[in-house]
Amino acid sequence: MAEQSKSSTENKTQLDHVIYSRDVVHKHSKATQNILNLCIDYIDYCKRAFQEGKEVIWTSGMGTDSSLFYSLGIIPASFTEIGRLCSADAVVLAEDFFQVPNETCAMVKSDLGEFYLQRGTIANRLFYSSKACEPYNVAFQLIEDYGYDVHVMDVGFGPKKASQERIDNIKKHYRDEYIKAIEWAAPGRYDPEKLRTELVFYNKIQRKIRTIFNLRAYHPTYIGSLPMMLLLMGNAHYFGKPLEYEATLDRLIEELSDLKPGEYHDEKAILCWSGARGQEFNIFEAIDEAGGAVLSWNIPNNTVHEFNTEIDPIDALVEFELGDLISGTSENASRYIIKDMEKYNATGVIFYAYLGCSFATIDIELKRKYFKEHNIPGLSLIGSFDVGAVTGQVTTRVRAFVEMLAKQHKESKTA
Amino acid sequence: MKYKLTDIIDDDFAAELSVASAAGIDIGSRGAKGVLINNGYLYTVLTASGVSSDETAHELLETLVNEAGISVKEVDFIVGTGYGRVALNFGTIPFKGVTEITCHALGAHYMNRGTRTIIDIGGQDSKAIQVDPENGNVTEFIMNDKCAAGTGRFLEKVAQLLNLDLDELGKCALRSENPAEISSQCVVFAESEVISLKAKGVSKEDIAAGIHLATARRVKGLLRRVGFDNDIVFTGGVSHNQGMVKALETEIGSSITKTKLDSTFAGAFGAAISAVHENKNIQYVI
Repeated sequence: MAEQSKSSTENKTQLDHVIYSRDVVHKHSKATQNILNLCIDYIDYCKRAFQEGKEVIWTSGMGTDSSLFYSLGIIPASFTEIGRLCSADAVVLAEDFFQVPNETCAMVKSDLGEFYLQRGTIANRLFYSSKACEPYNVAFQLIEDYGYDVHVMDVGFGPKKASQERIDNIKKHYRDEYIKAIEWAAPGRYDPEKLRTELVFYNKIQRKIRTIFNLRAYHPTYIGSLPMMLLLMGNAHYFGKPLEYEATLDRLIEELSDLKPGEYHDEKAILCWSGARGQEFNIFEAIDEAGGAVLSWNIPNNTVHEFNTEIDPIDALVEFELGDLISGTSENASRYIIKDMEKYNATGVIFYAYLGCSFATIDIELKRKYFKEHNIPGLSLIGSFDVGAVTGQVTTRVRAFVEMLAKQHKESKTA
Repeated sequence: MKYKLTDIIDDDFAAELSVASAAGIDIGSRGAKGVLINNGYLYTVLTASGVSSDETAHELLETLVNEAGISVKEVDFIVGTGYGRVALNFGTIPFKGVTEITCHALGAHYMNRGTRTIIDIGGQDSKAIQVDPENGNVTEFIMNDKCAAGTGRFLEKVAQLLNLDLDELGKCALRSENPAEISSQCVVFAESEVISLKAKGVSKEDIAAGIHLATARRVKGLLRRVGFDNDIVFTGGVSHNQGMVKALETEIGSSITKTKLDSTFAGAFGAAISAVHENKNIQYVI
């Protein structure tokens, strides 16, 4: 990977943006540069590890899967990340070779294309929980024919008002599925104490991230939106390097704690980011350049939710999944987001979904409506997963939104 | 063009803007617009955007200052807007880029005090903007940029298919007695639809009117989303197209507010107003 920073306007690919953020925007923060380095190296690191004979499995990269696989001595490679810094050919290949309809989720297409392109050089085992989405199910079925060993874990959702008997049945089913997954991934290697250690570690990491959130409220522009989003994305897979990730968090806490009051507090508007994690990195650049600071995050990587380490570790995985904060109706999620926004004085929310994601594109509209009813400005963005620069119109929307919030903020202060 | 500020905007606004020499440059996808506010007068210039946004912007500025009889150095502040704003650089003159959404809102507010809703149809996108009538701040907006339908490019393509200049398309539509039904709003598919209407002997006037109505329907969808009041200002490059004005009025069911300054310049005017405000901030800092 050639690593050379370009100017902001020259950035073409997602990788360009990450390198630019590291070398130009975040020269002042070694910890932020470390986060970006971890992100840049993640998939290559998993590839190298696999080629050196280490065990690597593609997973969602979220809390339960990652903790489970780390406890089994397996490096979790997040399949949502293979497409993030991918080649420009991946989406085209998914559409042309696999004949995936153009309207299908851009993230799934880009991952599918990349799995095909990199077959034989990357880990060929893939663990997938049916909780995510149907297009991924289809994509992973397609990729099975090209040398991948795919294990699908069948899961259920825990309805809030279900009878205890039904909840117990769901829990039992979930538990059995985890045991099957362990047997598939590493037969005979399960050690409850190792899993418990991983769950304790995960909880510790979330607390450190929450400390960073709290410190950022005093210095919102010290770390930009892009590295913050990437830091959050690594909150469970740790970019394959748990200790290095933890050390980076510690360093960031130290850097933020050392700042004087008022330093890096020049933001014009505080925002919330809600929905998908975003692939079009110059959107984040546009937010920062316009004077916005994303302090409230509502993305799949939720740092509030912790494992119960007092119970059997597999039961803890099950409880964690059933109590997942991202599930539930749009209205429930909206209520939670508003609370979080209030904590950070965020005055507007950017809703982001991937093109072709039939769930998220509707979900963000429902949320936008809910927020409008509560007089909170919202901006809906439908993004792509294609490699390359986003259109000027998208960045115009983002900048105009930040300008609008900044003006409103200024006027309210004057009033 | 040269206007006395008090002839085109309210006196208090004119007085507020007469404190500085400020320029607004709006580089759109098709047209580039420039506005200079100087000594109680407002100057406008319009040209094609060209390949280099920066070169075009400098040409616009030169024309404006020549018209005003001042030098470029005498301009206190410049604000750039439109998609080409990111590429602009005016050396030592203080400069800032502001989005066209903010600028159109500000421009429309000063052109027509109390504006609540703006329809902006440009070369590559269309927007519906809701404005705070007290101060011209944006309160909500929505953009259509997913396809060329509902944009100036769509109309440009149709004009080509009908062998008309873009300027003639709107006038041609106004002569229609029985607008054609256009079902497709995609540029690619509209091409075959227009060809098939031509083959059936439908007149150019009726096809042109049908196309304008189809575009207006698309824009109405945006308006529905942000909500709209009767006081609507139509801005952007397509705003001088009278066929489009009529189609919008038909679809929306209310009239479009007429402004004294050509509302094609709303973005550049808003940028110039923003430049006056920015210059004021600098003065305070000093």
